Amino acid sequence: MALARILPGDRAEATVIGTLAAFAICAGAAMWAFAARSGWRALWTLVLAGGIAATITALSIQATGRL
Amino acid sequence: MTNPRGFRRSQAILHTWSGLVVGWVLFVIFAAGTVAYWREPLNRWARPELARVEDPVRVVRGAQAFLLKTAPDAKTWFITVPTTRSAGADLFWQPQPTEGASPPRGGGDTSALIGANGLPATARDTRGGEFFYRFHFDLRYMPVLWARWLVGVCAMTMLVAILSGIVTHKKIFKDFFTLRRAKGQRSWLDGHNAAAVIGLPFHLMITYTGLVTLMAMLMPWATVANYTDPATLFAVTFPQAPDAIRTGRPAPLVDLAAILEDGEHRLGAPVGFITVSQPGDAPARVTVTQGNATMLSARVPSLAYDGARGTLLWSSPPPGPAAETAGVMIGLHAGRSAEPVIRWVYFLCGIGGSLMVASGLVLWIVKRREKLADPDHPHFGFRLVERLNIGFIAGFPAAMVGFLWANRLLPTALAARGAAEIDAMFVVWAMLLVHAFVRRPKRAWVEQLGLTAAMLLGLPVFDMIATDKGVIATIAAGDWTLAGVDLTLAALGLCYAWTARRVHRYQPRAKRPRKATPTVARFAAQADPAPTPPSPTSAPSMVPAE
Repeated sequence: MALARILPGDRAEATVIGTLAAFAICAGAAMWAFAARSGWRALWTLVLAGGIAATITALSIQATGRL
Repeated sequence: MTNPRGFRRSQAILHTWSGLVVGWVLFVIFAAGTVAYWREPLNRWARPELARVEDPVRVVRGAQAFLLKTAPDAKTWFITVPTTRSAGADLFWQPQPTEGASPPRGGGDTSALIGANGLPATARDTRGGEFFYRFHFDLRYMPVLWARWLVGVCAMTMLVAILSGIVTHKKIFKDFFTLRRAKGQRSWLDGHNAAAVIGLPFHLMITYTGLVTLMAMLMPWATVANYTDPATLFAVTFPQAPDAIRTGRPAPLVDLAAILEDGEHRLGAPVGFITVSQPGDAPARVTVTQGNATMLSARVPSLAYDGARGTLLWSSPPPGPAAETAGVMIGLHAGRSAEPVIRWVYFLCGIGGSLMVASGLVLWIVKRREKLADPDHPHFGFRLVERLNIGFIAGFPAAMVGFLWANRLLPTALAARGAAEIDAMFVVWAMLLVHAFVRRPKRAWVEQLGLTAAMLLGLPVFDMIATDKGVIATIAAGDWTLAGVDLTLAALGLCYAWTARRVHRYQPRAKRPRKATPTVARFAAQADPAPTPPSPTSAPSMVPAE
């Protein structure tokens, strides 16, 4: 979501790039969760990463709106 | 971050369990998808009574004549332009929407097949190769959307399993040339690695691109972030000519063959698909779409013509780089543009992927068998996995061949015959699953593999006796598409026969004295409760120099 908002250029193109990348990010998150020292640590890291992305997305939507 | 060793261990756990949980469904998806690379040949093979298409334009003219007679005032006609490889022109039409009535769903009597002579084909009702293609992502007996979510989740898990697998089996590239034969767990591990490494680029590609084919459903978040209505995005990524509005002023439709010729000239490639909106009305529109077999990307360009005058109205704009990337990914997955050699590479890689999943599942069993506390009475989970392995890895391919046999054996006049063929496949599969649970594991493996071999080898023989499209006749006619199907079935049958024989003959060597690994003896006792006495003469040469 954040990627789709902040990537420059055409909005449709950015959306497709964001979607294509999402699967790699998702797989990375699963591997990260198992590699982390403990379940809680994995959880709060992922929540933190998700929170940052969500904040960027929300701010960006506030600033320029959606199509 | 943890240390590298801990990292590898964590990824091994992830790999084992993500693989096990979705392994069986993945095997089915992989196997059906592999067969689906022969969708068009199988479509033809499933209708041996049809003549081969020699002149596609003649078929298109026949399609237009048929539609003019059958559905002159339809809302839209869809015509698949045949090639010399396909069974004919598939037609589908949408009637004008009537107030209050919902449009009929599915095929029913709004679809037809036009044969090589331009007339409606009278062929047996079958889904043919189309079935394997749809089953590959729509599964069966459940709503399509559920199936796609299930397939999508399995594919995502597969991507995780592949990536964590690379970490787990870190030595796969170094060990690639090591194939330790007949050494139980080590051999299964080597086999799993070999199947994985040979096709690794393919496995990664096919999994990722498979996810991309379902991306609008699985990952809508980027779209949600940018658009209030996803249709706005689709209008940009899948551009279409503006809609034709019905006026009620009649105007005869131009000759579709002429538009086909002009479209192919402008596109510089064969047309795969013709859509006619509001045929017979003044603002009628004919859209021609370039054939998927002609370019790598699945985003094929299209042209729209005035249906009454035959003039070009609109042509699709070239896609942007990201849309083109997505299009190429989907095209890579479907392999529609693959030439025969590349198609064989796809098919063999698909088999390799199926073997990778299958050997991974077997490895789970082999690895745990050594550690069983009481090998004669393994715990429930072990038995369940072992039996499911047989019912899926041996049973599902047997059921797919059962589908082909149903295509040959069910009476041609049977009502809803196409669906009955598919039901027959699931009946065979269900019986084999039960069989896998009631027989001793080794017997079940041998019997199911042997059954598959017999069914595969029997099909070309049956074709030679009961149809006029036997392998000798098709080779004599130069029809390598059909001959190829029969020859491939026979070759696969030989592979299955060989495998069944190997499993049948397999005597766990560990029964022979091996001081180094006493646990293996228990594995042997479990695998074959009635082994032949160890042969003392062969024992010394078999002791590994570990």
